[in-house]
Amino acid sequence: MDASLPAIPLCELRDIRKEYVLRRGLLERFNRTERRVAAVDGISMAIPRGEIFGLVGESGSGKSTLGQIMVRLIEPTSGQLLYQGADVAALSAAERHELRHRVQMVFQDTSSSLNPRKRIRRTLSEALRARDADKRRNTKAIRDELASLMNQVGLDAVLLDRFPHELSGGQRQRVGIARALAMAPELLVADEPVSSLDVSMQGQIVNLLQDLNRELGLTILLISHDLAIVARICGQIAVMKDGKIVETGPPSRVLAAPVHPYTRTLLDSIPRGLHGRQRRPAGTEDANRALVPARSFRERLIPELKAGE
Amino acid sequence: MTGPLLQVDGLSVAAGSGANRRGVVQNVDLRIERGEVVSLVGESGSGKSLTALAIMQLLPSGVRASSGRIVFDGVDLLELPRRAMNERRGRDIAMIFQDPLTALNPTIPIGRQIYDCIRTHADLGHRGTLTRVEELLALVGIAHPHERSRAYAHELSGGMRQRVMTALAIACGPKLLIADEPTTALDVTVQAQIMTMLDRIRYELGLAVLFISHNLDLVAEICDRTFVMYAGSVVESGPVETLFAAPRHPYTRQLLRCIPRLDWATGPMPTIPGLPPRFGDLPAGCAFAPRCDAADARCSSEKPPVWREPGRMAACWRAA
Repeated sequence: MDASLPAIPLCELRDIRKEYVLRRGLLERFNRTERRVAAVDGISMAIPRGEIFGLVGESGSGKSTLGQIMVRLIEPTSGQLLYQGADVAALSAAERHELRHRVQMVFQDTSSSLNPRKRIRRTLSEALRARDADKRRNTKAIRDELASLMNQVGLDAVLLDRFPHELSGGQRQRVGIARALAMAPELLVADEPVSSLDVSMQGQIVNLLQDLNRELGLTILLISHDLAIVARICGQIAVMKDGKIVETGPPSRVLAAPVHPYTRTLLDSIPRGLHGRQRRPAGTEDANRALVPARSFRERLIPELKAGE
Repeated sequence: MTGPLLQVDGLSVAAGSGANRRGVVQNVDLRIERGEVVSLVGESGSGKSLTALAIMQLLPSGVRASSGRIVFDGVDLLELPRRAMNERRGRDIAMIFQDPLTALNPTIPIGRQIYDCIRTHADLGHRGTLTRVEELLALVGIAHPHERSRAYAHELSGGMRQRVMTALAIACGPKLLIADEPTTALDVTVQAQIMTMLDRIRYELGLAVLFISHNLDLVAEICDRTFVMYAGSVVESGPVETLFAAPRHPYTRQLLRCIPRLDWATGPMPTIPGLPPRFGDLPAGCAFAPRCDAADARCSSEKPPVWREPGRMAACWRAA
């Protein structure tokens, strides 16, 4: 049905707001007033089917809140969330439940997002059983599907019988992705999926997301503060600051010629290796290093230092 | 005083005892001159944090330095009695950690924690110490230090907490600051601010810094020399400029290639295939051979020789 309507985005947000009430002081309780803070402040955006959409911004900018609204882990205060053109609020309970399967999430912290007391096999098979609770697939079918899931995320099936703490961070993140894939989702919300991983492992996970997008046509919302990764794999990006989208478009345009000063700041913050060395304040060149006066602080302190040296 | 500030010779660290004993750091040599910024780079599990903890004598129970020397300012720290080490720790060597929320005490205002640290090591009197606390907070770039000193750790942002931890570490004017992944938990924008702050502090106080990270690009911005660790050993070391421009060890080369950069490249990102070996489970030859893109039969059967040039070394058959 959706193939005939390629123009309808997979997921669309219309003027989404999420407000939190700050803890009320005595006076405010007495006056029945309250202070509110908007974590997401009127955001409208559309994620086309098959796209890897990048959501960029610093912590506190509301990007994770927005991701959780899309997975419907939290309800927006106001605004519409449309899925394939249909307003989620207008869906029946059964339809909403079904929608839960089609939107899945991958979390940043791989050690807290997997149950430490369950082997990988159990974590994944619970997800598979949840997908079709009524069909009651037999154990053999589950076992086959587990093997293919593991294969899909590039893990050896031997690891099924391990506990999360026995795996590396990169392997755990693959399990997190496998668990999401077990639900056969259409949209994957990946909230900082690589920021807790080593540089050498980040590429593997990023490549996996890219493969899944290409091979399964999986639509991905990639929430990240790493512009270099986002620029590499996203078709479109949105830059968030203080609950608002300040700039949006294809990365080649947004990042090559940023209009908003905040985007510029983000770009300037990427470590640039040897090219970044000129950022040192003047006078700290290696040649001057030996002459750096070590006095000021320590020397003022030394007479006061307790016995010992 | 002459001689390097810190000289680590043949340091090995082992975990467990008896038959379960495993080497987790092998034969690490490290030298830091006064006022120098040196970095220790590697993947998680490469032994870089354990090396730092061994220097601080803060290894977790069951893990201990099994051989080698750690000479700091002319004294072997491994030979020091516990009390003498306690006096030096915090005063002469200080450390900041990756996660300030767990490193700071959640039940004590931050100013009080810095106050206690100074009172332990120096006699400034009550008033003098209070003034020093505020000076320190201002030094690490915290506005309104007087008011902020009464805040608790959870009331501050991640970047602020890292600034507080830095203030705590430099409170007694250490000669060496060990920073273990101080920005890994932070955003790029905050990371840049903290790096600038650390660089300024180090310059103003004439500190030597041992900077631990897995991001070589970050390291290159502020460090003089780099030690690259893999599976518990230093595989390459040298001045940042030459090590980056012409890495001799394939691991360094592959690690450099993996860093996500804004270079408009498309297609799959470069990766290092496979996983680092588990502790105590090292292959017969070069530990990196199974993941190396240049390895041959000799690499996996024989330990690689150490190639040396003044100021540089690399443990690889192909380094020469």
